[in-house]
Amino acid sequence: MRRIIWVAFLVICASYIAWRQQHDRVFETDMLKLLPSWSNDAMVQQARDTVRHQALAQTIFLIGHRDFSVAKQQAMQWTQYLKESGVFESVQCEVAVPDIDALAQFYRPYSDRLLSDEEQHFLATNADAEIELLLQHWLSPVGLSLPDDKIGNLARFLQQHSTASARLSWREGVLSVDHDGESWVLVRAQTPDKVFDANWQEHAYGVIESRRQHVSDTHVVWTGLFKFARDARVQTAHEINVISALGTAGLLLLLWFVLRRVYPIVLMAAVIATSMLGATALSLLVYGQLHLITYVFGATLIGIAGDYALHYLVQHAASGAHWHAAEAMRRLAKPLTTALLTTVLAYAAICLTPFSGFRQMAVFCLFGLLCAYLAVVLALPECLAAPAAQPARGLLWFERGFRRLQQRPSVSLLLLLWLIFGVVCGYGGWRLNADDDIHLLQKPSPTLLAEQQQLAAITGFEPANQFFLVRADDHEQLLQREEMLVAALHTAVQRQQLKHFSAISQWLPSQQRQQKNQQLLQEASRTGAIQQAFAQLGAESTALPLSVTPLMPTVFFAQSFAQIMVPQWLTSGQQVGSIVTLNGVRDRDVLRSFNRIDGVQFIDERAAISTLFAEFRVQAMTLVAVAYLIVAIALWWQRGAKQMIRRLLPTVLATALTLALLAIFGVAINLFHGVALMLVLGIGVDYSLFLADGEGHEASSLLAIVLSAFTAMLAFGLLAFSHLPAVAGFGLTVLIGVALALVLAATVFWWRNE
Amino acid sequence: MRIIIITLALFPHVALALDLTSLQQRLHAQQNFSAELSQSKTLNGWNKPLQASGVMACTQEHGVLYFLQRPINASYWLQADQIQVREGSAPLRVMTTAQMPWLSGITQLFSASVSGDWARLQQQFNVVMVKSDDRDWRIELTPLAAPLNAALQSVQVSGGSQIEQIVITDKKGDRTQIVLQHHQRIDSAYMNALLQHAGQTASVTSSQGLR
Repeated sequence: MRRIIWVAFLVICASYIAWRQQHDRVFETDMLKLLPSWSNDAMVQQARDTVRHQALAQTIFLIGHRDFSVAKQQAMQWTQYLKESGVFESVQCEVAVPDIDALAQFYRPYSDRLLSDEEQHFLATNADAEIELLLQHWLSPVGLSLPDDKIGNLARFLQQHSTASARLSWREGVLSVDHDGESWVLVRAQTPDKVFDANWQEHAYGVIESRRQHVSDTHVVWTGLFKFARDARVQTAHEINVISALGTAGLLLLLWFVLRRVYPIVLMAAVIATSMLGATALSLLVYGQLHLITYVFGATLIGIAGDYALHYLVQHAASGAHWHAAEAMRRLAKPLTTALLTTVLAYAAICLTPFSGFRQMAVFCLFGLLCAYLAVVLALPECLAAPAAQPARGLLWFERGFRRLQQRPSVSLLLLLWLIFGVVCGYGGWRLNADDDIHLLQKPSPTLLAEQQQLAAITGFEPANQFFLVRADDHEQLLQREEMLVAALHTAVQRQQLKHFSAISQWLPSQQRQQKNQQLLQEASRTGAIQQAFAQLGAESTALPLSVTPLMPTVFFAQSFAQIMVPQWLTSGQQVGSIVTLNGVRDRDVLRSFNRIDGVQFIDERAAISTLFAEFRVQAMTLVAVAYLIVAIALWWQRGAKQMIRRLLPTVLATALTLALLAIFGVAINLFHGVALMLVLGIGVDYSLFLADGEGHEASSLLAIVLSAFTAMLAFGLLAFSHLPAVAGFGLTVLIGVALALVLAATVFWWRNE
Repeated sequence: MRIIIITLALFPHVALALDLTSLQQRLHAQQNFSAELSQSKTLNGWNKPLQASGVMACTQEHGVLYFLQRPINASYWLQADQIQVREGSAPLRVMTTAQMPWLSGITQLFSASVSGDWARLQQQFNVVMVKSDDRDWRIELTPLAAPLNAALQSVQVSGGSQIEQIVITDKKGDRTQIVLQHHQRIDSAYMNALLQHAGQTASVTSSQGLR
């Protein structure tokens, strides 16, 4: 009966998962979703979302050929193809000539209030430079001359922003650039909102790559955040497959090696399946969606959940004809429940970290363990009612090894071991350092990065992850503050700390600034530099017009050309804000120092996440220490100081040695190592507890412990091969920690006769 | 004003109409030259034309150098896809077609004329031979397409054995007259020296953009 319920449970879980996979997005692949929000500030969030949304929406293609006309023709065909595929929201290749005359027409009524930053500086401080500037403008064969702009200040105002950040230029109706003997034409595509949707990603990627293979003589380079998101998903999914397949195969092989029978292996596979399927189905019910990283960590369940079945299966094999299924389970139920509870406690501690990703992972594992536990306790006795034919051969080897372990080493050997331990820990402690970079969770493949760099080299376009948020109580104050920032940014550009930036106040000066400009221009044209410049050419100066109304934000944002700046213009509660975007950031520290300007905030998401990682690394390490303390106090209270030390020392030593070894091999410690050490404590203490409390018991319990350590090492050890440094570090730490804990647990025997 | 550049790009290589082949051959043979230049701009709203003078030089290898020496000292070096500007003591800056789309028209014309791709030139301009005397010829060019025709009304080029005068009229009615005198043939070394004298170093990679 229980067997039927068990099978039914498996079928229901599998069908539910399959059904969910058919109908919606089951896996979350956005790495940022793992992280807690690093700012509670609503406007910072709004600005961040705006910038991220814009970045996510962009997919850029460059079509290159020696001959520009071929490149252009191919780009048009490419555009047509992408449009027809329906993958993107919009695809654009052709662009209109930037219409400076239309811009000039809009600004003309305010022209006596507009000055380029340079000219304002000259008019205020350096009349000779202003005269030179005017003569150059009037006599230049390449200057821009606009109607009703005799002095040329409007032309200079409009042209100061045309410093293109990109090398692309308008050519025959498209944007193009020549690079390394080839002409490249730009095609831009707007991605829909489902950037992280696996089905959409695959479809879009297939559409692009299949076409790319067909255009043989033209080069196509493309990039976009969706490509990186897909890359991360594919790599991770591949890892999950490899890790869980190898983990399961390894575990079953190990079992086969010891037991040499098919049926127990089938039961073991069924328990693992129950654990994985149950965890997935239940977590999907709770969360709606699972993060892919949860699944990677979840693969370690194979190692832990398998343990429960292992103990029972090994007992069965060892008992031979004396086997009584229900009786054996009654004996095993208590240690199994204890083991479940300690592991549950370890995962519950992980739940305390503020990383939603970790919480989900812990909950996933809790579900998995619970399913495995129930399957073993409720269904295994029914399945294994018949006794095993004869004891397994592997058991005999273990008995011999068990005797040898119980012999205590000589004092001099013990001293030598302590010395080695001291040296290793001391050297490791000295080498210990930390790395909290976001790269822990993001590691795109080199080919993708190379393509992105190629694109940046061709176009000169290097959009920065960082930006400035300026905020104020009203729009006038906002623009004034932004102007102070812009002045500082100009200096940064001159010093090559930044390539380019873009701010709204460059197009919409504050009223204060407009008034100042007007005043400067009027003065200079009556008695100052402008008047003198006319005199040098022997020409009559003319009176400047005098406008009454300043250019206001409402008027500005009603213009069609200003629409692209609307997302940069924020409102949150009583406050207003604006985003100043950056391109080609070279010196982040200098830019961060601009925070000294009132209302200005340098937003550097990467740095913020790294700070967060560092904080949580310290927290996680503290948590490990606190956990040891709690376990120590509990053991002391239960069994006295000496027995507490005897049981806890192996794991403490294993933890210290693990950290030291990681440091010696040049691994920088991060948050994930801290979390892993928590698991080492949870798993490691079990070994010494089992060995110390199971005194005089048959070798079969040692065999079960060794096997369970092997399976844990197998499951976590496979994580060490992950492409994500966070996952790899986590797996490696548990691998080393558990191995050391197992070996050192043997020391509990050395205390016995004292 | 920008129109001057368009015209500079066209000459001295262009030789069309009357006796297309012979004029082309004549100008082509003299395409490495320098001459004194006088520039006179007649602008709307000004009571008198603005005068400036300097040197213009051109080689097939380097492109065109437009070097104003009075009353300001400024040089403009036209290359295939960019114009490198040196004004006063300010740092060199490069104007690329990215900053000014109409520059791309120029560069196309420039390459078309250097390679002798007359068919391509005639796609952009309507070319009329107004005067066809061998000692006193004049050609009038009218742009056909955007972005050139948005700014440019017409360009007149005239001369005898050499190009002697270029008159550019833009859409606003501003008119620029460039007179070239005392032509002399130059070589690459001379051009290099002149470029240096004009404050143009060989390569400027960073774009300082426009003021």
